[in-house]
Amino acid sequence: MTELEARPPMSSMPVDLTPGALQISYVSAKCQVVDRGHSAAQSKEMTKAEDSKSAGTDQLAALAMSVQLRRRVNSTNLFAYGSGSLLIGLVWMFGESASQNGFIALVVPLTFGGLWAATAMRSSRLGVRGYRIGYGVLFLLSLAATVAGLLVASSNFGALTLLSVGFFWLGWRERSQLVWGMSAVGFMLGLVTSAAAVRQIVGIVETTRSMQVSAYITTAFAVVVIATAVWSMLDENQRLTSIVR
Amino acid sequence: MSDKGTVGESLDEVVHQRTRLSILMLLGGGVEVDFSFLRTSLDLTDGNLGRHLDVLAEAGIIAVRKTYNGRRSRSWIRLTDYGTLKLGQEARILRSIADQIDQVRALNGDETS
Repeated sequence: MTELEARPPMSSMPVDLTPGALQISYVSAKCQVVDRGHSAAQSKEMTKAEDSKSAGTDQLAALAMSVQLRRRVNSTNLFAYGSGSLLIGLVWMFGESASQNGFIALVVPLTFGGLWAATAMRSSRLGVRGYRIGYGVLFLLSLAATVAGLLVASSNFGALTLLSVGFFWLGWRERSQLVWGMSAVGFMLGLVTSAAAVRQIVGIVETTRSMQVSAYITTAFAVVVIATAVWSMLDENQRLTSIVR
Repeated sequence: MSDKGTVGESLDEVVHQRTRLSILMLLGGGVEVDFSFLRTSLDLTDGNLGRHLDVLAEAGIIAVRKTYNGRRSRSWIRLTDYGTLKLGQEARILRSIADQIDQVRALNGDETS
């Protein structure tokens, strides 16, 4: 049985009208119509012209897939998320307590600003970009919030929590399960480790030791996110290489 | 109209034409791409691609947005909501055609399906 013959019957496929699913669904449908036009026996007798048509469909499917992979949504977002979290953890660990809150509040717009710049540069170079994802909006919002009172919010809810909300939004908009999944974990960790309001409810007394524990947990989480980003980048490279072949 | 679609539904020639379908396939992932990316990826000439884009834009299937970087302008192309709907419809019809081919082959006892 060939790989093409092993595909499930189309009637069993669910209908999903999200743009990403639509693209895959279309590519699959188009390939299957081409497959059914050429049975195993018939394909031996395919003319050169027919062969090139079939190859064209496959190439196009690969190209459509590579468009998504070249944007490197997972690795770029996770690198930014990990770096932001690492900064928060390190400031908690080594920063002067008087300046900690101020600096940590700046990490959020700094991270989103850096991510916006990186994605804008890549989009301009590639000629492909996500439509209305919200990188710029998120940066401007976080900048405005810093001026208007993110300082207070970051000490009440935790900077990691605020950062995670932003990345959850981006992960959802980019349809990246990895990004929104990681940010959901980060959101919970942020609430537990650095949110003053939650700590009061849970009954954790704010001591130097508890702050150190929070710093270690945040840093460890950041390392996990960065490691996942590296894994994602390697995975994207591998998939892109296999498509080029 | 059912989700599955039927062969009876007519394929829209604006969408179904080979080059235009290729353009829509590339735009189908919720991305915006620039003119030169499409031209290079699909190996088309400026004029040829421009004509196809005009047809799609007139039908309301794609939207074209121009940005300026100094003197250089760039055209960014994306699928509209209507275009997403049309591409979905096309996929359903193609699925339905493939299903019918399978049924006919099964009736004929074709071993190769």
